[in-house]
Amino acid sequence: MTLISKRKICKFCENPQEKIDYKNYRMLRRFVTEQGKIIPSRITGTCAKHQRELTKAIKRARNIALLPYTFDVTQSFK
Amino acid sequence: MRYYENLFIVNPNYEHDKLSQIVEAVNAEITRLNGIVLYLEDWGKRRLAYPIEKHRYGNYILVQYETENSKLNNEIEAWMGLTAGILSCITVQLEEKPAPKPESEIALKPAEEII
Repeated sequence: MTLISKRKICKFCENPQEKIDYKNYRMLRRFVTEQGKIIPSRITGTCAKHQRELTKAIKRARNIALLPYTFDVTQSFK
Repeated sequence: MRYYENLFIVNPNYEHDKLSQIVEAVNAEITRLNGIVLYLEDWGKRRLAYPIEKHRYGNYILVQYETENSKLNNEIEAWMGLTAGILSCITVQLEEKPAPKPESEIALKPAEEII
């Protein structure tokens, strides 16, 4: 087999200075879909440890209205 | 000693005087419950991700404090819930002591950023 699968590397393991913080919603937005759902780690490549921290941070950010719980995509076209 | 931070949203119609009154009241309440305020920051007026009490914008204010009073967080959250003008709040425990900021930065900044 000549096919070599390219393994995604966790962004937070690569770069330990980047702290996962619920207040940094601009960073968290990268890990959320347009509808506001959390993107699974198998797609983003985040490791299990950091995915747990991310989930917590996203949920906290939602709680204080920094991130939406849901976003109705169809609504923006009306 | 444990370190906590509280991020709360104040009614967007509260301007300079009324806003600083609320911030002072929060400060006084934390001090009354044996907490020491280490850092206070006004994020300014921002758009909320979803409306709260029919408000689309809110003034975000961050307080970091230390305390040994284990009941402080519950009491401060309950007090915020009853205070008119505070729309929502969240308390989080910090792993390490936040870097203390000079007094001049504690002064309230005018609302600037609106997304």
